[in-house]
Amino acid sequence: MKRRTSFTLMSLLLAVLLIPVLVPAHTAADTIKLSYANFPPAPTFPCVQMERWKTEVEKRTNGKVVVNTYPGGTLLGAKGMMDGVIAGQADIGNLCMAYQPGRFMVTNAAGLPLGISDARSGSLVLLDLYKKFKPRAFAKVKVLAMFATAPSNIMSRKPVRNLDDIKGLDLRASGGAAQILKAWGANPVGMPKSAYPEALQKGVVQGELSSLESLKDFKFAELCRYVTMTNTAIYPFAVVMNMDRWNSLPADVQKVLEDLIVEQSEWTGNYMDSHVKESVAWSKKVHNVEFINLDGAEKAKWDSRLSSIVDNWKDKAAAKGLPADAIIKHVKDLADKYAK
Amino acid sequence: MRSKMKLLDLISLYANKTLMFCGGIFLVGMVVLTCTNIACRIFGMPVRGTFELMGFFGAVTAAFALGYTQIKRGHIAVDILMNRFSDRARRALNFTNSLAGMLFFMMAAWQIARKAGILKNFGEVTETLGIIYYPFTFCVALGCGALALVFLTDLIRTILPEREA
Repeated sequence: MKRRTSFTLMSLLLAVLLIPVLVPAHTAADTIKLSYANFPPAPTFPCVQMERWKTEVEKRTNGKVVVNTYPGGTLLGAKGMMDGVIAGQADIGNLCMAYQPGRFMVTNAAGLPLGISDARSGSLVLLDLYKKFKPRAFAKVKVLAMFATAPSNIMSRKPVRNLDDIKGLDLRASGGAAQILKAWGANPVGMPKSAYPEALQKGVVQGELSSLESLKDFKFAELCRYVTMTNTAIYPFAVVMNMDRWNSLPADVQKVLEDLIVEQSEWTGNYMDSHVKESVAWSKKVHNVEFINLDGAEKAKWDSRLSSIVDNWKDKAAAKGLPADAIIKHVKDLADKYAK
Repeated sequence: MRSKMKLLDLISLYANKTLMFCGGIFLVGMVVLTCTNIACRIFGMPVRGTFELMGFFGAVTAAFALGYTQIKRGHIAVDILMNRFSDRARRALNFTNSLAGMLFFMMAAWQIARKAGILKNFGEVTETLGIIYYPFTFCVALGCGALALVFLTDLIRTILPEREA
């Protein structure tokens, strides 16, 4: 009996040891595997666009490329994304540039209050901005897509109806959105979106200035019952790939990815715009969220406070030796060009 | 050899004591900052950047306390099995433990310092205050380096116990 048990155990062990030897034989020898890291949870729009990209790439390369996706910061976190991709920890990574205002100064210009009206035009403006100015921050990676959120609105636990309500209120925002909150007298608290749910629950912040799809995707409508419509500041995102990995790809695969750049960016913008509408309808219906529209006089007061933000950005950019005026003009022109 | 060992011990002790002291200052800073923020918030003007500064100060406090805590044997150690082993086995395990600890924290210090270099090079600034933060990262690397130094002295001590006795 004892002998038989040990024999069974031995054969089991052998079988387990043989698995890695036998299994790879089933996958085609020339498939290219790419890992794609993302920081927010799977149901959110950056991950939805990631899965769409994966499907398209696998389809268009006839299965020659297999993309493994890692949502929710399982492979790389929000702020470690760029360096992780450069180091090759992931082949591809999606990052939000607003979290690193110093590093992505040029592309963050798209997050300033310059009249970008929706996510589709924001995404195309951002991509054009990158192509024209080729910022140094992207010198070591291949850009595969750039996209933006829809314009931001205040989602909060307390109603914000005027500038007195917002004074001193702790709200999460990054990049351009943080500058705007500061101008309105709120207390902006910078943190990646992935850190926000816990901070909101604990009361570290009372809400955020961000795009409305998060009411549904993160279920923030459960806690934040008030939305103040401000329609300002987008959050810019980039999808980047390790340069060595890019260079190692065969020409036909490179062409597929290259052709997808504009298409994917626009697709994500369109998805975002329609998803925001869905999220707003859902929040009203399921959680009875109140949407507050500022009247003309109040809105004018809010807008008048924003004039210095662009100038501040220009001063900082100029100090870094960047063509600040040209960048701002470019964003404004593009925002008009792509507006529907 | 013994005098050299003593010197190394002294260097390690004073370096770590200094870091512990600095860590303490950061801890006091955290307390003052939080209290100020709570008080000011009542009057509708919270201290901007409290959230991110608390994160940086906390990291520095923890990193600066690493080495001194190890000297005082304040870190959690599981010795349920260790106590049953013979002196020789125990010494061999202590040697391996110190060696592994030293190598790990040397690598950690090196990699974190490299990360700080990258942050500096790209001009990274914080989200809310827009200030540079690579010095904090360097501090964490320093704390890891100091802990590696403590492991080094522990390591040498496991080789030289007879002569010391």
